[in-house]
Amino acid sequence: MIRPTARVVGFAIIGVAALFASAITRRPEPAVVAAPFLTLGLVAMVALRPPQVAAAVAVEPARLLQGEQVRLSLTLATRGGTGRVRVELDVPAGLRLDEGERCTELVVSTRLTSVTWMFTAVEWGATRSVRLQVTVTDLIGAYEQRAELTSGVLRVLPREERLRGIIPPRALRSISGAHLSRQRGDGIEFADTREFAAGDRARDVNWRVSARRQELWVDDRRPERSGEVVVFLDTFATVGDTIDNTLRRTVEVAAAITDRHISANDRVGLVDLGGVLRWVRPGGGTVQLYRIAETLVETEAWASGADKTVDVLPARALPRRCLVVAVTPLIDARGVEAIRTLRARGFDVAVIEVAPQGFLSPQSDARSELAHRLWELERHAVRTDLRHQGIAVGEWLPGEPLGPVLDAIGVFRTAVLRSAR
Amino acid sequence: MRGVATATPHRLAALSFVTAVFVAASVVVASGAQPAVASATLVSIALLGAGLVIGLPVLVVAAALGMVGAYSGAVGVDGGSGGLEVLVVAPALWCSVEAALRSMDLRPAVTADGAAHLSWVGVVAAVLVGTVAAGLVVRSLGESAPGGGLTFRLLSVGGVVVAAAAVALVGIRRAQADRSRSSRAVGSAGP
Repeated sequence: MIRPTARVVGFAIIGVAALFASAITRRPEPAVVAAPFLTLGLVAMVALRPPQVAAAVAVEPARLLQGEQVRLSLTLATRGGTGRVRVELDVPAGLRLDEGERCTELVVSTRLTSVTWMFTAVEWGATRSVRLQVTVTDLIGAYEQRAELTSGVLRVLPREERLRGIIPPRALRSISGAHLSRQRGDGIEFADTREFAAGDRARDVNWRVSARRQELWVDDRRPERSGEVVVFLDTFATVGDTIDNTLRRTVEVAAAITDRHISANDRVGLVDLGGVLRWVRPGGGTVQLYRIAETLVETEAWASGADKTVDVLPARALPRRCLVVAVTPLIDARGVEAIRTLRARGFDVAVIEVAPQGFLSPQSDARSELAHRLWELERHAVRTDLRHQGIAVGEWLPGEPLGPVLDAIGVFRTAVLRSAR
Repeated sequence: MRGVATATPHRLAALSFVTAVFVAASVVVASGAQPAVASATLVSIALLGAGLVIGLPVLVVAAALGMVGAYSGAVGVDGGSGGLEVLVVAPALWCSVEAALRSMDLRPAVTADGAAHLSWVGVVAAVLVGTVAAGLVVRSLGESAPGGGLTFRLLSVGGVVVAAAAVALVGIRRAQADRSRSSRAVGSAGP
């Protein structure tokens, strides 16, 4: 809707008042004082209207990794004269404006005009759209027309920490991958030597051992296989503020683990058990990586008092022989109980604990200090109980590398396997 | 141009205030320092300052109305000083109001591009020239035709206003035609 601005209304009032003053005082000077106001008012009334401007907003790319740049461009096609366009940006949280102005004014005429801004995605997540308030006025600012434009939703995926370590699943598939199988077969890793048997290939003969023993001996090798992994997110509760909290760190760890296992040719799935239950069935390849990443960026901690268990999960979300990597802050009993249940049902479970200590405010008095110590003892008891059930628990302090935690989990799992034998 | 543009709101606000003080001084001198006129100008200056600080166009318009009232009082009481002061008061008052409103336009950290600044400066310059022309017409009429009467002089001012508006319209149309011609030369395509 085209409407007059405060400028032209004010000019009209001043002009008319000066004309009245001129008539009352019977002097022409007040009319001269009103001349500029009347002139502009007359021009505005007779001829000026804001031009018709068609605007289009584009964001490129709409999906990017944390830390990458995104370009927002506004294209203005003007018809019906010359005018001024003012564009005000409402930058959502999670984006930082690198190039361009938050509020800019430019003159447009009968041609295409484009304005671009560059943002950096500083936080991952399903970032809300960038809103643009566009105000079109005529050249002297007498009339204006406003419109609000919204760009498409940006999806900023978390940048995965490059992990070197990996938690190998115990049960492997017959498809080649990056985990050493306990079985013998074709592979690179040396396992053992044994006497030659009918059907062995000549290239497996270990000539050095054969010469020493005066009979044919062959090498056994361990094949590299892939497995199935389900990343289990405990999103019942979070500790921290809106900028940094255990939930964000949990998702980052989950993204890093997913990326590492996908690159190892594993099939990876996702289960998000919290206020909202979501899952992604296991799959492999880059498409699956993006599928999981897109699910992860929408992860939120929903307050829920419902007693949710893993019973509500469909069977195909948790394959029978998969490795379940639970990423949890271990602060909600429902999440801990779900992990126990999974283990009791025979799943191979490993837990990466996102330690919430760094997100807590310091204890101010003796009572809160005591409460904190009790809380720590309780968490320690939970950890010990999980380990007694054969679940490897690695405590990860946000900000520190994840590799040593994975190594510690691997050592524990190996020890459990040896003791089981 | 961008560096200049970021400081523009403050500069324009200062320009507005300085010209308003200039108008007030001229009005007070023209009125022979009458207490009522001096009070009215002081109130107007205070209103303008408050409007500039708060960012309210209503206060600026009220300040301008106060100035017009004070000036009318000044010329009504002593019959004016031969129309000379109007050549100062009229352009300075308009410049003060326009600079104040423009500073408010640019206040939320607006970065105007060069063309936007130039277009505003062009409008201001054209209106100032028209105002001075109107003042000169009134003054010359007062000298050459002292018996012309108020209606005759007001019609003269109206004629100048209409002529200025016509010139402004022709200028705007020509500017639009030039811009569209230059855009065709560049070869931009429609959406």
